[in-house]
Amino acid sequence: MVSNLHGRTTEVRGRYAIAGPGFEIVSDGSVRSGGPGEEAGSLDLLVASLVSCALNAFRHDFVQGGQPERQVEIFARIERRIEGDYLGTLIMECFIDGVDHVTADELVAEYKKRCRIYNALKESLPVVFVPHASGSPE
Amino acid sequence: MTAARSSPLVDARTAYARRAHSVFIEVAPWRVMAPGPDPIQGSVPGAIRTSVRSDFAGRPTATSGHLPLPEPGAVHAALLAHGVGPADDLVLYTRRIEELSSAARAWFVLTWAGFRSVRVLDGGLPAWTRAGGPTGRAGRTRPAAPLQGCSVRSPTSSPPPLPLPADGGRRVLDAADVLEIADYGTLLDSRPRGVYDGAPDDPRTGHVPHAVHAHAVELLAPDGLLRSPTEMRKWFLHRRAIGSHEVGAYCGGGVSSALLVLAGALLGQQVGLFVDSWSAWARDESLPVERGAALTRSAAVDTDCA
Repeated sequence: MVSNLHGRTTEVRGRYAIAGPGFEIVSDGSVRSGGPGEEAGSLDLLVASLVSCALNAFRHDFVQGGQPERQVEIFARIERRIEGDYLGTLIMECFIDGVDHVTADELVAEYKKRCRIYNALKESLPVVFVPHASGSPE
Repeated sequence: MTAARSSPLVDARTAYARRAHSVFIEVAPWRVMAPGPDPIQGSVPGAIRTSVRSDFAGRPTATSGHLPLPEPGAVHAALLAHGVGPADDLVLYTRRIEELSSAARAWFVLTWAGFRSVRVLDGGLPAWTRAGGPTGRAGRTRPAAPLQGCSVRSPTSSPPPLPLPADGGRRVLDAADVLEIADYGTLLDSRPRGVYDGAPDDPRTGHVPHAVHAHAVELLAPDGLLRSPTEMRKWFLHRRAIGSHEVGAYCGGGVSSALLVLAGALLGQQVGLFVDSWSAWARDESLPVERGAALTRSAAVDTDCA
């Protein structure tokens, strides 16, 4: 078993508690569906899983032993046409310190190759990476 | 190439190198933006002196903001009186770094009115002098420029407006647009934090519901230059203001928020300007107001998967 969560409704209508070993996430249904719409929604959680995985990869992939790990920021958004009966396209703008554009592209390629979540979702949720290199080559 | 597609910003070194081909326009703010005497004597030699209130704003009405858009014809006439036409290469600057948004407002009005090559001098007059640019007397009037695509030749008549640039988005927003963008897009409020938050005892203070606080001065580095494109992109991304959704901006009277429009143009992000801004919004009691620092999410946003 690689993930084991427990979800339950709470005393707040449309608010849910999702717990795993040692952590808890609060999630809300949208206002349109009768929820509070304040905490992370289900779509936010889906995006968050890809962001978390990408942060983890970009932080240390290709870092040589003894070298410091990278500081990474990712801004992710799903864009969807109003009439679209589909999830949308996920755009991930990634700011990776200390790498040049070539390395940034290599990091993205490695992520696409390795991330199981990305590969499971990419047909239904196309992902566009926009890497921003902000440093000199490693 | 239209002004909307070319860079709306020019650095001082480039502006100095190209000075013989440019018309410099000094833009005075509508109010004092910084205390103390002017730190730099003189102007860019030959610059045309203008001000936000007299040249880049119209006469306020009972329902408008305090600095509404002028008639496009009036903008053309005012500059034509100085021998400047829509085809000239214009460089806008302010005397102080704190006033940069006034140059951005002038850029917005001029491009909206159909002027094709308009750029803001990054860092204003201080950056010009740092780059070795001379200062001297302003106010030179050039020979009248021929107007391309406009039959008017005389500065004393009122020229008809040129066609407004069709750039694929709403550049000038009204109150209905603002409500829609606040619900479905991203609306930026460029005023200081305390003004955004509002006063508990005044129900017509605060901000447009769901507007994101985006104080315009944060776009400036300590040396008065606009921050780097990467820094500005992060700044906009932090405020959910990059993407295919519609983005709008407002402030008190459409001046400081013009700097957000300019920065957006540098990043390739269209940002519409609610020129009437809070000075009109607060007076109309039918329009909703939200107070406090917390950012609220519109109920129209669909965060479910279904």
